[in-house]
This record gives sequence, C-alpha cells and structure tokens, in this order.
Amino acid sequence: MQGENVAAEVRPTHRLVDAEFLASQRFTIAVKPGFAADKLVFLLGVDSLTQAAGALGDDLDPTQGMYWAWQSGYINFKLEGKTPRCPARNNAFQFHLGGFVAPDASGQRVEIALEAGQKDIVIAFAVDQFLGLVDLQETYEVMRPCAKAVELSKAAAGLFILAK
Amino acid sequence: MNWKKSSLVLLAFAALLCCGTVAPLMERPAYFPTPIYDFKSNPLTPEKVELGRMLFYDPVLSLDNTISCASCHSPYNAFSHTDHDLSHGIGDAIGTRNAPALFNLAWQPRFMWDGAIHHLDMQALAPISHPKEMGEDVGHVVEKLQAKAPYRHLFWAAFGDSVVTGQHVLQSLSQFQLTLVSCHSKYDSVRVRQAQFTAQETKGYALFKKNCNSCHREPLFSTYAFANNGLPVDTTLFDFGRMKVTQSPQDSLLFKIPSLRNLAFTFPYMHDGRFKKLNQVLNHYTSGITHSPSLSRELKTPIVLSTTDKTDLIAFLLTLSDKAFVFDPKHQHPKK
Repeated sequence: MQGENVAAEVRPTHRLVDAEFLASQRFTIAVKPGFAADKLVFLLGVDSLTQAAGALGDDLDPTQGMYWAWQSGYINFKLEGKTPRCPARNNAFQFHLGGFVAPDASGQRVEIALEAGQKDIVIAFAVDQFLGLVDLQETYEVMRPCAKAVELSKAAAGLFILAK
Repeated sequence: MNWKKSSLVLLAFAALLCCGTVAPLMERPAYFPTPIYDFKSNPLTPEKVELGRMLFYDPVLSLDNTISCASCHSPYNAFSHTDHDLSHGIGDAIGTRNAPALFNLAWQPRFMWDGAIHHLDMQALAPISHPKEMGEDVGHVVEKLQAKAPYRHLFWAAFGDSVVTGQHVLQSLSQFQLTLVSCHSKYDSVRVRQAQFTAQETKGYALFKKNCNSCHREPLFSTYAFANNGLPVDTTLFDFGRMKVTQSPQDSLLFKIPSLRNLAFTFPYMHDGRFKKLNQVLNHYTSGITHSPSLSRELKTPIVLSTTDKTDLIAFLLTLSDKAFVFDPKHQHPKK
C-alpha cells in the first residue's frame, strides 16, 4: 500500500469471513481523526509472508478448516454446494482456492471505492456470478494450487461490490 | 494477575542461581550452520517442550486413539520406522512411503519426502489428517485434548492459557521435535578432536568425501535439497516424488536427500524402504542407477567402489551413529 494514506486498519489483520457466522462478517474500523476513507482495500487470501510463518492462531488457526494439511498453504476462498448438474458424488461441487507460490499464487488485492464520509459500508459478494464462471457439469472440484485456482480467484476478486 | 507472574519469575531465577548453568533445550554445535527455523515466532521453553513430548507420544492424535507420532517415529530408531518398508497407520492401513528419521529439524527448509511442507510447525497436520496414518481432524484433536484436565493444566503451564488451540498444539509439537539434535556420534567426537578414526574409517571418510559429500554434505550429512538418485520407479506405487507438489516434469523422481546420520538405526532405506541393508544401497550407487532426464548431475558418471572400498565406506558411515541421541531419556516416552 505504498503511496497511499492509510486512514485505518482492521486489527487483527487477518480475518476469516464465514457465511455461516454473522459475527465474522462484521468489522468495526476506527478511522484516524481528520481522515475520510475514499476506498476499502483488502487482500482476498493470506499474504505470502504469513503463509511462510509458522503455526498461527485466531482466524488463522488450522482448526478453522482453511489450511491444507497435505501441502503447506492456506485456502484463500472456499465455496461448496450441490447442484443436480454436477456429476460428482452427491452432486457436490468444491472450490478451495489457494496457492501462494508463483505461478500459482492466487491471493488477490480487492479495491472498493467508497462514497465520501460513508460510515456503514456493506460489501456484497455475487455468489451466483461466481458459479456462472464455470460449467458445473465440467468444472466442480478445484482443491489445489493451479492455474484454474488463480483464474477463479482473479474473477472472484472482481465480484465484491459495494451494496446500496 | 501481575503479582502471580512476578513471583513465578523470582522463583525461577532463584532456582537457576542454585543449580548453576542450565543445559540448553536445543544443542547447537559450533560447526553446524545457522538454523533455519524462526525461533522468534516460537521461542523454546521447558514447559512447551514437555507438552510437545506428551503430545508426540499420545495416540489421542489419531481417530481411534491407537496411533501416536512415535508409532512411526520410534525413539530407538532415531525416530524413524524400521522393520517396515512402508509405514502403516490406523487399522493397519499401509501408506505409500517410509517414515523418515527425525533429528536436526531446525536446519531443514522443507519436510516430507516430496517437500510438501515448508514449515516444521505445519508438518504434523499431514500425518494427523491422512486417512492411512492418523485419520483425524486437528479440530477434533483440540476438542479431545480440551476435555482432559491434565492437558488443560499442561497448556496453561506452557502458554498461560488452558484453552487448547490448533496453533498451540502445533507449536509445542515443534518445540519437542526441535530438541531432537544428533551431534554426538564418533564423527562428531573426531570433529571436535576428542577421538580419532581407525585406519579403515579414515579410508571410508576419504571415499565418502570423494563420492557422496556433494549431496550428503557434512556436518548435517545432507544438503536437504531434492535429487533423483537413480531409483527406478516402483510400479506398484508410481511415486514421482517432488513432481506431485510442483507439477513440474523436471522434478520427476526427485526426493528429499536424507541425512546419513544414524543409518545403523534407521533401516530400511530410501523413500519407500526398498533397501534393507547398506550394502544394497551401495550396490545401487555402483551398478543400479536408472538414467532419466532428471537424474542428479553427480550420478551421471558411475560411482566406482571395490568390495574393500564398500566395507571401508560402511565403516565410516557407522561412525555417524549417535547412541547418546537415540538413548537420551529426555527424548523418550514421558514416564508419568
């Protein structure tokens, strides 16, 4: 974030946002006096420095289900579900997007422009548009660092929008 | 809570004064390179090491509470798995590789035969979750530990928090494993000029330096890099090693170079335990190399060893056996 004035930071810095737990979807950010933020910036995923660090706690604790046991690395984004179109067992699709080593580094920077002096910021993620990126009859299991994970992560980053 | 902490500190300080110098938790010989492990993120304490030891020997880490880390990493075998070519886990499920020996871990950049794990703290997650090893889920391990009062006390003593977390389980396991340092073999005594090699061992050492040192570099006896040492792929396993992790064809049949320390205790040899005897290993290097594009550069020209050479070389390799390490009570099963 060089060249930018950071008005406020969320602490702790790494958060697991879980659709199942409302509390995980809410953040209170205290802005420095005299500052009015014009954009919200976050990394969708865990940065490579943190990935290379040892066992971490709170939202980064491996018990949260976002760490690959068989090969080091965090899962940046997880989406699972079912649809009759999907030929997998139990019609289940699983998108576990991760990878932090080039060329499969899938972490994405997301920038959302804010309205001047906005206090209540609601960010929406367009799940339907994400699922529309693939044909679930063909692509329904992405569970390791790969080009597809990077492609889907890039697209996912663009699906965070400011809700009115 | 401040008064409790300060009185504990005073007691510890007084104890140190009475007992004289305290042995370091982890030895660091002067001739070893700088450790890679970031101790700042997880500084060693006796309580965390002890908690790690309890966890290492506790089958509670497995789904059916039958398999502990020590089941495959046995202290009497320099923390390797002998007598089996492929290690086995819960319900006698047989895996695809031979469990490697555990020692000098602070000097290793990557873990597992294919280097899938890049930090010691995270390694335990792999066997804990593998269906043919411990078959568990680390979240469930945490729940099981939380339900046991003795563990709640141990976690409180180590971390000042009786709430068990995945992070604390992993950090304490790391700490115990970091204390497993092997540096008291005959080779080490010779290195610090407290012993001398026999004539045969001296010949073997010269052969070692000529033929093996580039990959099995002293004093760790490995560069811990990845290499294809000419083993033909086992067609019942089709294990291509590092390629599985990097997806790069150049990494086909590359495996992590193991240390040659403690070979007397760690048979069978290679990632799939295919060689039971050191003679078989040496015969592989002199006449069994299978050529492929990724074959290690050092092995492209054959290694030449006469029968006497092989005997001398094995004599030298046996000087790497560290009985003090293998029989150290601090590394064994906790008595309580």
